Amino acid sequence: MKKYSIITVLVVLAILTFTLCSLAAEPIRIGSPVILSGVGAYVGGAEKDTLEMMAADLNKSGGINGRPIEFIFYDEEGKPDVAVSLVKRLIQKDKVTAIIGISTSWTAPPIIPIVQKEEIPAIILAAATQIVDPVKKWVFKTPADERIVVAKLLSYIQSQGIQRIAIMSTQDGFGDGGRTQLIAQAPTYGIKIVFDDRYTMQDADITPTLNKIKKTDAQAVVNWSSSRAPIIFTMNYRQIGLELPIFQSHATFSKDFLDATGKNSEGTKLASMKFYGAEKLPDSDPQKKVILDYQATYKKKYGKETNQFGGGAFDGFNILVAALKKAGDEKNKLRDAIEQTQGYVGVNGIFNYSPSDHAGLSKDSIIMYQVVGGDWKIIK
Amino acid sequence: MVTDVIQAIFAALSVGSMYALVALGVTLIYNATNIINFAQGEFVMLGGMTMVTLYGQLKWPLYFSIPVTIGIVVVVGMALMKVSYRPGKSTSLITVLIITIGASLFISGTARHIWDADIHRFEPFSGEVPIKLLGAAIVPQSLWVIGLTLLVLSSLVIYFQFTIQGKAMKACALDRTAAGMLGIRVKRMVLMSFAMSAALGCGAGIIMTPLTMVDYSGGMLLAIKGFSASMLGGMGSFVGAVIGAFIFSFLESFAATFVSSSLKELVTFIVIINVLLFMPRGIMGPRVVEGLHEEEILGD
Repeated sequence: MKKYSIITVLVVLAILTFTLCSLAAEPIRIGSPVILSGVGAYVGGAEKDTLEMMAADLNKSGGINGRPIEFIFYDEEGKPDVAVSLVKRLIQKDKVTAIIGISTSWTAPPIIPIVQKEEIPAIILAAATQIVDPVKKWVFKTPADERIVVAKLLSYIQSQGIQRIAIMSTQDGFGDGGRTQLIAQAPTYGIKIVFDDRYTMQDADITPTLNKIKKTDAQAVVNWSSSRAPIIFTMNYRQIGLELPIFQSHATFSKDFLDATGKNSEGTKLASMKFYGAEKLPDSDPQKKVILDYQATYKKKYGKETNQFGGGAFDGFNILVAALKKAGDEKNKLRDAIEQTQGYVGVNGIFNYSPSDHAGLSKDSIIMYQVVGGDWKIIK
Repeated sequence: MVTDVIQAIFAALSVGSMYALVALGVTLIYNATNIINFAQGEFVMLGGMTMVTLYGQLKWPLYFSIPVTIGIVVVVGMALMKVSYRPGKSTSLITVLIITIGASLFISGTARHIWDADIHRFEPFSGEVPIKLLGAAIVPQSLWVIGLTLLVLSSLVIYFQFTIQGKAMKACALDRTAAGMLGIRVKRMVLMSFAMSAALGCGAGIIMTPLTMVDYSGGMLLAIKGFSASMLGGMGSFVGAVIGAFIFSFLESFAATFVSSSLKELVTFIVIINVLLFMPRGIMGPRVVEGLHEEEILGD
């Protein structure tokens, strides 16, 4: 009888210890649907790598108030229907506390109603302005969007004393987004759009359209397109001998563009994020160290370069962790804590969320670049 | 005004020639096999991509990189023939069509793995200084494209009209069995038509890339443009294919000049749908003859 009770006590003790231990170490689960296959795999790849790297570091140093953080990654494939079912699964089956993810601007809008209905804080890693405009209670985002890029560009154009511009854009999501913002914001900066025409990504020769700009009194030309379109634009522009200053979109900010256009792109200006020009930033810029540190840590861990998309995940992680440390994992308090994020210096900019702004960035996160001697230079 | 018109003509000639080169390749295979090859654009893409590597990156000289590039693409073209064309076995036209679409996806997917998803370009052959005429400008590379189109068109017409081999090739499409009975090696003829078509597409890719750039995914769109141009001109006619291509490009270019660039697709397709409504076999296609006669010759 005595022997029996000792065993019972031991068993009870064992169970108690186990439960207590597991209670103390109950992980905080975060759902992360990112694109891991297809053409966009490099986008989600950098996001996943970044989140894994940061989660491992955080857990090593004690996690969030003693609780480890655990990421659940799924491949959203860049398909809206897949993204929707994954987000449902993360919330209903995996019972995640929050979501950081969704890599593309076309998979983000369809998941927003679910997040809103289930009331789970979500930090979206896609750029599209409409994700946070109008503001949705549970949805935030970290990448810079064309709203602030256009704002920076127009304020620069204004500072150059230019009052009349011609705009060209492609008929796709990217081109339309930029065009809408240009038209909406131009009056704020006292700029008049005197020419506005659109072309497509497939056009091999746009000289007839560009030729029409010669007849206007535009003082500069703004082109909003991505992929090969800015290259065709530049070559055709030089071909017909237009000499007005060229302003391009941030999609043009790449080495490929310089390689393909050679001398023809000399003098081209654009507004873009600080990410790829970080080493050229002045030391007084608070973002410089953050960006360079992130790039170096990533390279050390994975042996390859990260990209801007990984940077978005970096900011999402830091904002969420800070909020979790402050408010715990109760969803209402957590959401409020995210919304109260102020002055966080991240890779994409300095974040100040508020009840009326869930994008958090201002045009100070954007800088002007110019092609000088075949390379991108930061200009004032 | 004059400048506008000339600039529109320059653009149309240059773009139209690109469409025409693809359309001619589609027509060539159609004339030997009755197959519509949707992978024709992939030959153009492969030509451009291979040339980017050999000429643009490895800096091989032109006279060496061009033949090697064409050689590689011709091998791909012959392989495509092996999977899509099986004389003797009964394959319906629609099956073959789907095979070529599948081949197109396969080739572009493979190209993405061999190269990457970026846009590539290499320097034009004869500089970038535009040639001016009354205020309008054209780049020298466009003249190469236009010249190649004229050269290919005339050689194809001569080949099919005046050489015994060309006539034999056409016979294979009209009636495979009868052609075989007359001693034409049908299989070899078909293989040759694929090889010629691949070489033609590849040549187009080499010469277009400095103007249009190249990436792994551009082939399908070109094939659709080329196919539409040959439909418009009349399937099977080389002259028709080139006319169809230029109608396309002139409509686009003039719509962009005098209406709006954003409406050019609308203008183009309204015209084309109307042409095809009244001339269902295209502009140069055979006129419809009452009765079974026509169907017996052209039907499969």
